[in-house]
Amino acid sequence: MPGLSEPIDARVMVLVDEAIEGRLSVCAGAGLSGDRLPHGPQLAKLLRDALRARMAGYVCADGSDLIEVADAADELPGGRDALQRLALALAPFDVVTPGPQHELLALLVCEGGIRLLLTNWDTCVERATNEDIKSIRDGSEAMQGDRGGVLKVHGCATRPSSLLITSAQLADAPLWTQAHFSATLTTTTMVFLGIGDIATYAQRRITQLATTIPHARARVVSRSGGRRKVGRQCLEADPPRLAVGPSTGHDSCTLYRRARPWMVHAAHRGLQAEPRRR
Amino acid sequence: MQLIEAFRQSRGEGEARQAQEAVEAALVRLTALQALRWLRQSAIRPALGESVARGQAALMALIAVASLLVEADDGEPIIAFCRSSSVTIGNRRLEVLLHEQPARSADIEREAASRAERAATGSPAGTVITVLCAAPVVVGPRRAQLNDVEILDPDAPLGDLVDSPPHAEVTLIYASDHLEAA
Repeated sequence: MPGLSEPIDARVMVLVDEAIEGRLSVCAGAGLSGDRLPHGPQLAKLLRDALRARMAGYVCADGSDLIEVADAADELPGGRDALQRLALALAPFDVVTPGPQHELLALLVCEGGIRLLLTNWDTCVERATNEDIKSIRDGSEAMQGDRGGVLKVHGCATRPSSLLITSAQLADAPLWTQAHFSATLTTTTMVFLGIGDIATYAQRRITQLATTIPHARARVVSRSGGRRKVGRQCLEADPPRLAVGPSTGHDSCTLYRRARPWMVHAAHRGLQAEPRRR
Repeated sequence: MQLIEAFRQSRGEGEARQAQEAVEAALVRLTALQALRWLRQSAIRPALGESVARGQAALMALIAVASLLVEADDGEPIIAFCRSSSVTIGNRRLEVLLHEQPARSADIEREAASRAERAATGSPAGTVITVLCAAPVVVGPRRAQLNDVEILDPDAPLGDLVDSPPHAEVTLIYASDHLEAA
């Protein structure tokens, strides 16, 4: 990570301004903890094997897609509750040692520099600092006025029942998740970090935003060159304003609320910038 | 970082300017993560969402460190911002306390004693621990020596602690005093 004496890329300076003005949010996913917890496909395989071994009647041919693996369990009576608990037992989500990337985000939240939306179940960000960052993990906590720096929009390992894992859950996320995601998306510049697949409810909001706000711009960067759903859906929604870029080595997506000729994706060593290719 | 910019703008002349440049050079050697960690750990119970980096206390602390550097009589001491919210000026180590809200001096002293206790762990007997407190508003009498604070050696056998002199002494410096002097 470079020292403070290193000059800051002009495009990142704008993000800094957004942070100072309280208009920067980060939506981070599995890639954030990818160096210490299993990725989606790895978790899918672990989960399928565990379900096959332990859940009577479970059948799933493909073990590479986490949502498909989960959906197969969801079809069984009582399957969802068991699935949520079993998924959490597959990796040390609430005890794995946080990394510097978690600590940096936690400190930025503490400083009031960002609003953080986490799709991860792990508690690495919460444990990365000794301050109580008062995360929101479910609807009841969303009602508490002193919370909100970190939103566990897909649930938290400390509350198994809060986990969103099946396609039905992700298509129709809890009201608090949808409300907070929409509000944050429309009032801040949101950087997507370490997210390969955006949940259905989020895709819907992004697409709505892109069609509603004339000056909205989105640039999607994906290792797979744009095969990701969010890129496809955004492009279908509004081709002139959205573009899919080539891989930059990390699966990540970036959406900018305002027309800005650049994109940024965050990597583990901090914020890095990539020029927008026209 | 706005803090560095504000610190630059507060520069004095001559020796003071050189000292401030040295402090800035030491600060910018840190990464953003290290700087944020240092600032948040230095702050006394910072509120969630309240920026320490953009607070007045952090700026006061930097100016005070530069002022102490001018006063240092050991040539051109090396300054370093260390882990556990401390800063070293040559061989002298200062534990830094930042407090943005108005505070009573008694509360500041309590925090200083607590910080000194942590800093004393593993240090030799007779160590003098200096705590630099930067707070825009401190109400109440200010003491430079916390003579009533007894810091004991946590590693010493229990029997040795009875009637033994304090393991460390605590000296308290208020940044605002140095700002007034500057």
